[in-house]
Amino acid sequence: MKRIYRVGAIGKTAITLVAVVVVQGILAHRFRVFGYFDLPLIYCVYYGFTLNRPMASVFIGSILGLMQDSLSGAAMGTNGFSKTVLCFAAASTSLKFNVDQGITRIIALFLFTLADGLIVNILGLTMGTGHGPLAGGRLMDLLMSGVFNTLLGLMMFGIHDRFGHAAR
Amino acid sequence: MVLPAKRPVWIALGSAMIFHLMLLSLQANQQPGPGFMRRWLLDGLVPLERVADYGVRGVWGVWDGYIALIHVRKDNARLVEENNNLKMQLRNHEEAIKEAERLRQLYGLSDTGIGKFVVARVIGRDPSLSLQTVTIDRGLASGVKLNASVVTPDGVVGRVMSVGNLSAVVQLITDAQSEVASMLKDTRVQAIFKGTGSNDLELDYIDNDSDIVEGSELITSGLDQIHPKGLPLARVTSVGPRRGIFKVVMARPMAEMRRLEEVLIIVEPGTPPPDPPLDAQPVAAPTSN
Repeated sequence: MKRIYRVGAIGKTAITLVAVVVVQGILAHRFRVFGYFDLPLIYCVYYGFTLNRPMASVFIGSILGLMQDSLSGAAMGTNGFSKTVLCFAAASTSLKFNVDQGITRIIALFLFTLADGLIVNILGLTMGTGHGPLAGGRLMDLLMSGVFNTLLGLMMFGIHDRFGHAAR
Repeated sequence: MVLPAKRPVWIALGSAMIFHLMLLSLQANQQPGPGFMRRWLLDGLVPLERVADYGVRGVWGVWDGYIALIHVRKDNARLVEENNNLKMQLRNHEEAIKEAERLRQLYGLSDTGIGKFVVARVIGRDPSLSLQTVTIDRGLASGVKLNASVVTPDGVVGRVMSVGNLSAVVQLITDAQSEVASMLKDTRVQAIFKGTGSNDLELDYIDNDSDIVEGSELITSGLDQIHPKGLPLARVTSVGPRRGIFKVVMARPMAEMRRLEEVLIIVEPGTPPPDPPLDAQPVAAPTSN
């Protein structure tokens, strides 16, 4: 019974991971504003904060990042590395700090977005596929992305707090 | 000191980081190509993206076709009038087209079109926010090749940068890593057309004494061996002050990058159009001393 439950949970997580990346690609194509969202990163932070499993977070971040790389044409491993580190950081943070506070979530979502942009940019520059230093318009885009990710992330946490607690 | 219970987590993290760094190092100093992992992931993810895109198109179709009908009557009247004008122009040109076809056959010239192409639908955009790329629903199985030119009737869109069996990723000309060999349509001055990550693109290697002006049209020169010669590329939007020995020239692409729905992938380039005759200056006769 326990095994069935575990397989079911793994299957549900796998479907969610694929859906996150696919939806991000489609929404970014259909609506320009979704170019500022990073659903895989928001999911990483959400998963890390709500389920508190650093080991699983490492694999989830890795898989999400590789799927992002495959659909974007970036060098394979760029987003994989970034999402692995940030997913693990989110899960570890939730074990050490109280992440149920709104202000903690706001700061975390914003900083994780900046960190993701920075890591991807550094790896891109190292590989020679980068777009130059984060400055001017690109920095503004990253900051906007931080704001949008924070807002969407807070909505997700809000839904989790409301319906997740009601289910218990 | 790391507690024994936490050591597997750090081992997993370290292994994952090393794995990704090794993946990156394998791609350094290499042309980005359809590696086995990228191809598998593309082939796995893109069918799902295609299904989701059909769903979104269906909803969009219902909204556009039955609910959001503001200005439809005015648009319809305008389109009917435009259609009538185009029909009249077409009748006028039909005779010229027939004559050109007869002459082409007479002189044995091949069709000077863009060549053999495949129509593809754009089903997604870069989900990583760092690149200007789109995903299309055609791949190796449809004859799409790496570095194939991607165009629309309006102009050049980009090139295929990675390809799976059923899908491909297209790097747009607006991407900061994109460079296209181009030339001015009128004067045939060569330049390199570079993406900046936004909808404004930069022209490199335009001499200070070249007579480029705002509104000049740019076409592909074919020298990059990727885009066939003569395809519409962009229009100059500003000619700025000097930067060294070159001018700062900005341009906008002809193709509407934000509204890509269907694109053409050139799988076999056609015969490029002949260069227009240049106005020749009379050559002075050499004088003997």
